[in-house]
Amino acid sequence: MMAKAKVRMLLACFGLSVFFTIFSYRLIYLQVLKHDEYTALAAEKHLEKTTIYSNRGEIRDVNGEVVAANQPIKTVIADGTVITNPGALADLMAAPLEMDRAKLLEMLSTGKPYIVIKKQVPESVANDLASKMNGKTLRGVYFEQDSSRIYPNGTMLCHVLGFVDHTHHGVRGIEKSMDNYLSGYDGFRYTEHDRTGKEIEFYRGQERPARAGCNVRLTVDLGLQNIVETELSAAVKQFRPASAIVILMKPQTGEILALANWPNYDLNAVGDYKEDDMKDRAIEDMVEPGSIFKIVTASAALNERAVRMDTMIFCENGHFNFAGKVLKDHHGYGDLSVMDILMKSSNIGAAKLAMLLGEQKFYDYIRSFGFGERTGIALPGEINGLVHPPHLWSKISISRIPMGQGVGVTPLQTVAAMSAVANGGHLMMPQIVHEITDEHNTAVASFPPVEIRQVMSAEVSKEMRDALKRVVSKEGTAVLAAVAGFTVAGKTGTAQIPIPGGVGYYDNKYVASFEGFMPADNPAFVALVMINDPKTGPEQYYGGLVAAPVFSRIAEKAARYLNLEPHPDDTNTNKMIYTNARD
Amino acid sequence: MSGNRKKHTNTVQVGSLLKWVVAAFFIMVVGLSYVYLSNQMHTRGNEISKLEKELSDIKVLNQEEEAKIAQLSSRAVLQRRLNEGFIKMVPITDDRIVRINTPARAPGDEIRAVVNGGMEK
Repeated sequence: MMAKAKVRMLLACFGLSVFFTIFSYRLIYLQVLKHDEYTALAAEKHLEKTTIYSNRGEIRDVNGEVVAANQPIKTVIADGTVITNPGALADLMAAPLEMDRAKLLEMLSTGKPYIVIKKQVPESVANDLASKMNGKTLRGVYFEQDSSRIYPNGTMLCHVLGFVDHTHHGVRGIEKSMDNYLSGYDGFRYTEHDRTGKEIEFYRGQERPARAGCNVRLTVDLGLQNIVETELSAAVKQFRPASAIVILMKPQTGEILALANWPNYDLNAVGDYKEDDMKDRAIEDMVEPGSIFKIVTASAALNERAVRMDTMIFCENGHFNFAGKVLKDHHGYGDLSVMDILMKSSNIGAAKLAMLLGEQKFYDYIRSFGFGERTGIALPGEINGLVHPPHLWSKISISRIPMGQGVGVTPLQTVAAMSAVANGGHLMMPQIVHEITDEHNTAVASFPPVEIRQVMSAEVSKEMRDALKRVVSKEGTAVLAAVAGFTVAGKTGTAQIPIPGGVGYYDNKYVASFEGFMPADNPAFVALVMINDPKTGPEQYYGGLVAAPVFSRIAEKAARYLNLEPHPDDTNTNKMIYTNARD
Repeated sequence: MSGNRKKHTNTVQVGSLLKWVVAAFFIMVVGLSYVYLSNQMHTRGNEISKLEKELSDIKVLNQEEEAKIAQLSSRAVLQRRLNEGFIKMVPITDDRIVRINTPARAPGDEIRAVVNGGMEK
């Protein structure tokens, strides 16, 4: 009897041992071996990574005026899994969101957990909607914070600013080139929620705050930009050109004070414009500069001491037969001094100056002035231009390049070159960004002036300035560039437009330009006005007639804006009653 | 009464009782404190959450106002309002301007042509 009981007890003990062993094994399996997997699954149920969105930095002009900012907006999201009354929600939301009720109802009834109902909803509409839903205790619709980029000035400075895409990254202009600074980065927060979806703050996990993007302060002065754009717009109305460019630069530092292109586009309605309208022709387009380029030829010859300002050059009475081709001046000149060559814009004189230098030396100077390479301005899409080395030149190149034919330059390169003439011979890198600051206005990066190289001596620079003053005189080609009370120096250009494919030039299409600086002896700015294919009367398409007056109006207004002191004796056109302004 | 009869008494062991009472009290205090602190933490958490939302809403509101200011004070809008006559500005008439010099006039005669089309075609 006792033995049987003992066996039964042993069996029971054994059974229990096996039973508990199995349980223990299962427990160890779940708690130890599968720990990570089930922890992750549990976390997935309750843990949520919330993104803390960062704000894109603002863009401001040199005086702090906002030119690109952010407008908070909301994205309306629906969670179909918790919506109990889609009909009531559709009734409530259709009108404020300006959506069709039937379509809205269809979206709300899908039962999906994440339904994007509408993007770019104004804050006021979203807040109003939220309070109405709370009042009626409707669940399942929430709002995600977002922002849209706004450009308060519309078309103003559009080519410099550029715009952003739907991911808030820059596509053109400063928005693109400074994207790394402007973007900032999003933060995150791990949170746990209870069954109703309410956050349990007690279990709040790892958190990284968002870092707002830096603010970019440009060198551009909106006051000057406004003057430039107003005058450019008037010129476009008058001449109906294919395109037009005005650039204002501070020659001592290379800071761009204003930069305007036509055609332009509205930054707040980018989709309404063609790609071509968005092209920043100041850096993305290559033009034959025409007579403006003679400043390079003359500066090079003077700097190499191949000539002096008063050296006389025989200008072949207007017809120069060179390498089997005839180079002409529009008036026949005999002997002209170097100063007169600039003043009267003699093509033959310029060609002979380059010949005195020789092909290689002349080419070296062209490159030294920055042609054929990017200026390095902080804008995307800048091109090099096209300057062939001498071994690729034709026989007549040495007679054509000195007057700005057969080279491709960007308008900005010509402004940098003229600045070197204006500032004592220093080629400065054009700057468009003045400073970058963080959200607390602490400077993160600054952009001091960068001198690329000295391209001519200070003496030659002064001689050139004196010669260019004469260009804006009654004997010169740019008398209409004169500004009362100030001495203006500059150079006109009227370049034929090449036919695409390299088969010569159009007979009736020209690029009329004037590039000058003021006051001539201590310039506050260098300005380029370039009008591409102006529609004028016959023989009225010259830089001196089309671009020079635009320069004059811009310079006069800019002088007032910059508070430059006028001096009655400093007027190129003082007591002048007639003009001869064709180049 | 027999000598081996013991007197049965139940003495209250105050020390031991006190020990248990103190222990129970201590456990109770700890427990209540835990509940109280947990509750406090949740309450504070809720408050933090609310304040964070409030702060975030204020930031958004601030941004919205800044955007409005930027738009309303932009040159384009000011120019439009000026054209509409909302901003009353009186233009300076010519008799109020002292000119230092006569401005350059449009070309009249003796015009000279120079163009970079010097190549014989």
